Amino acid sequence: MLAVPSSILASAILASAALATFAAPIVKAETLSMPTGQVVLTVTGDIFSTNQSANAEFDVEMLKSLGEVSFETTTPWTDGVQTFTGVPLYRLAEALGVTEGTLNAVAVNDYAVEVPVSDAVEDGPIIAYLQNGSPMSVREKGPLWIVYPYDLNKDYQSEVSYSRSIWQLIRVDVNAN
Amino acid sequence: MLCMATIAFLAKNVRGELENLAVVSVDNLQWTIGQTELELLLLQKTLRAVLAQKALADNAASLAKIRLRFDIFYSRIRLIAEGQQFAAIRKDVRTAEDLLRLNAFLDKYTAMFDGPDSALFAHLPEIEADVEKLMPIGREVALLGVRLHAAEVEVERQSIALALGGIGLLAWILALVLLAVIAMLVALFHRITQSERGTEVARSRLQTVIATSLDGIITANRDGLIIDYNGAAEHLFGHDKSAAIGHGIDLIVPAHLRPAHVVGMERVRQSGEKNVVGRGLVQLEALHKDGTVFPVEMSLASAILDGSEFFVGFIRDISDRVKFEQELIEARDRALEGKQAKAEFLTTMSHEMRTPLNGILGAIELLEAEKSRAHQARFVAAIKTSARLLLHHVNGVLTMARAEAGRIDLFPLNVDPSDLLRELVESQRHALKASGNRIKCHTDAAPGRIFLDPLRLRQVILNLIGNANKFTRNGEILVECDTIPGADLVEFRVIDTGIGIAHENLERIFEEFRTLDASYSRTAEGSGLGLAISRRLVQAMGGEIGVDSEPGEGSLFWVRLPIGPVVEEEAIDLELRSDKPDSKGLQHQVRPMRVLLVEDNHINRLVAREMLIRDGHSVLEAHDGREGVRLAGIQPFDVILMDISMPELDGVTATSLIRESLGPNRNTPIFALTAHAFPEDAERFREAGITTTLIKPLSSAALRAALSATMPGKYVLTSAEESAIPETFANLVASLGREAALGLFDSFRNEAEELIQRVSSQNWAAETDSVRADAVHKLAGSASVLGASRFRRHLQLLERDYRAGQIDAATRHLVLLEESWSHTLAEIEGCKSCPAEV
Repeated sequence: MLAVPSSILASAILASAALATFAAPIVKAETLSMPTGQVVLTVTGDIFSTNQSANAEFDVEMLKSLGEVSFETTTPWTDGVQTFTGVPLYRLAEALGVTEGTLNAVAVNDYAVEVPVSDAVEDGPIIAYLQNGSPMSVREKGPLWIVYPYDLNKDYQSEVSYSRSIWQLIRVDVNAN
Repeated sequence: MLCMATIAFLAKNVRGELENLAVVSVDNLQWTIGQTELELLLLQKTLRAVLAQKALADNAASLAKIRLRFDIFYSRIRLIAEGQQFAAIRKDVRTAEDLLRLNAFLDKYTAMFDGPDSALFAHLPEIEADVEKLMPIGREVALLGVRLHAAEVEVERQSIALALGGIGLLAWILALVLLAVIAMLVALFHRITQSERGTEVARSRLQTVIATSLDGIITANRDGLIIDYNGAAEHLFGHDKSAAIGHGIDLIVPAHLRPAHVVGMERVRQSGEKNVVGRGLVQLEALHKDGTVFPVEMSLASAILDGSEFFVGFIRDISDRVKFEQELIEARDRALEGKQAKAEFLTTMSHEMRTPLNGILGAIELLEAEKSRAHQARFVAAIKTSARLLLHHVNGVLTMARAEAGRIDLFPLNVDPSDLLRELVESQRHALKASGNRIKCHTDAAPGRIFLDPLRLRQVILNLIGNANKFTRNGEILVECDTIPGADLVEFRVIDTGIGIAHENLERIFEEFRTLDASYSRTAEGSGLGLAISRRLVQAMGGEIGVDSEPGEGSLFWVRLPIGPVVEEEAIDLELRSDKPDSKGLQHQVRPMRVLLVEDNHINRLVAREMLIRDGHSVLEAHDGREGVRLAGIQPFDVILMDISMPELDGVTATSLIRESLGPNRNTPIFALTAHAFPEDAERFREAGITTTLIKPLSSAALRAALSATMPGKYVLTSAEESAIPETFANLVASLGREAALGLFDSFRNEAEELIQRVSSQNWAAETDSVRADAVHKLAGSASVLGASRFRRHLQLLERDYRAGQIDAATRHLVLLEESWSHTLAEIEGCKSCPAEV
């Protein structure tokens, strides 16, 4: 599932954090690659990696490059078992150097919900871009949908997790307190 | 257990309920449904805004906005149509209808929205019109959200209520269970406390029983170690409790029982088989701390406590019981043996007595038929011999009986053993000739003087000579006497050349009532008492007797006696001899005497009278003690012969009455006649005033000897008993004057006469002894002051009798008191008439 061992990545993040503390300007200069396809997600706010002035813009390929996972689950909003594929939320947070605070997720219809960074854990929520192997249109709650593995972890079968499962996601505002 | 199961079940149920509440399978339905109407309104608003512009410059951008709104609305309808959380809603008929119409709208325009901008733009008014038509449906779906909310809240409330109800019920049940458990615990505690108290009471009671038990109680474990030990055991075995506990039980097992004890304990350990346990009382021996072994009675029990076996022994010292049993057995054996011996003796004696009796009877028969005086004299001599033999036997039995009672009276004198032996040998020489035996006497080494009872010594030697003669035929008998140097002992030996005695019989021949065996008793007649009496006599004299013998060759009997101290003859004044042959007495010429003979048996009286008259004495007879006292008060006698054993007033009492009277015979010698004379009797006789005792049957020789030794008035009262009235009167007159002295004597006279009167009245007998004694004592004091010694002595005797409760003696003295007073009064009157200048 994961191309890079998490411990090494964790070390990298720690190193980045350390550099950010003592040599912020240099780190700030480290930019993400530019999106080549249609931009599906814009991240704003307290992030360390950017590619569009203070923001970070992602196409599906860029998201996919952060690491891709799949799981099967049922949801209250679908009929039958679904397979969701996407980037784990914690991978995105890592990529952006976010370790704490909240992610204010905003949908295309201006639905918004706050997801604490502490939710971004291994085997936790993902930003899905494939449902049952196919990209999702707006009519199918796409193109991005934050999905928790409800069936794998019962703790996620709660109103809080359901409310944080935002579909038609287009933007994330990071607030590091 | 059931309770626990119920609680567990209920708890699980409630937890399940709570978990159901925690897990939610539906998102916020009301919100989602409400969003449908909102999205429809947003689509309508966007459409209207675009249509209002009419000629749009930026057509594409506007259309993109409308397309987005359509897509979002589309996703909303799809959500309700497909989402599993809406499955229940979809079954509602009205909702289903609404969904159909909304889907129809989407189906109608989806191709158009996906198509080219121009076609879409052209249809915008139409779309707007259709959206307008959908508005009531959007409202209805929104209201559905309200309905759903109400229902959902209701369900949720009921579910929570149910869960809380379950919890409440569980709490109640828990509380009840808790109460029940508490009640059970309280009951259990109560029961345990009660049981503990009961156990404690039982334990302390048991402790008390054990501690105060008279039996030793020892508890030991299976290894034979003492684990408890009570106070009685401490006393019984001498070991302290602290020292005994932890020690092996073999502590109290004597050495000779230890091997058996070890084997027994091993057997119990190996097989559990017990020999002593539960067998009731077992007699054993136990070991005291000081090493003594004593008999015990033990009962042993075993019990099991906490899985380990222990033994409890109750042990009682039965030393006393065993000792008593042993003594009883010995006493019984002795009694049986004695009974046997006495039966044998009776047989022998009967035989021995029958022989001379037959002789006497035969001789009497012959005497009756015989006319010739010479023949008569021979028969009389035969009768006399037989009678003497009989008497000898009876004397032997009496001596033995006295010896049995431990009363052999000894009257030691200075004796020349050579003289005594020679005299004995000579007296026997003739008798021995009948058996063809010669007798010799060797006394060269004999001491010149020994201090012994000659009568008893003579009896012993005679017995030995007689014995030797019985068992020797045509042999020689040697009598010897030696001093044993350095030991202050004299040894007499009687040696014969007779049949001898078997060694096994050497000890037995000295036993009482034994003739050795049948053959012996045939060879030699005899009561079998001779040697036994000899031994008793020798032992009484502080000596030893023994025998050496060789069967077929002869026997040697020896007697060892202490030589004794040198004593003056005069110290012995009371003689108790009657059968002592005194040949010299025959030659004594006794002066004629006036004799009072007091004897109740007429035959004895006759014999004594004849003997006295033959010797020229005059005799007055009294037939009993009372008559004797009366006659003695009338006229003086030279001698009074007093039988001791008489009915009513016996000889001793009569004598004391005569002595205490003021009659003419108060100083006259009184001879007692008695068949028995024990040492304590001699003392009693002497106290009563008896001068000499003659043993019955009376012989002329003994009587003659006693009379010849008598001096008139030899028995004299002590001077303390003499009256001192004239001297006292004279002294009182000298010191107080005649009038005062006379006054004193008058008041004494009144006092005395008052008492005399009082004692003769009926009331006197009703007074207590001490009152009577006190009254007599008071007058005795007065009599003492005035020198009326004799009267005072009578009063003192009377007082003594009252104090000792001897009313018979007191009554006797009372009789004399009046007489005594009349004498005293005469003396006083005599003094009064004396001239004043005395």
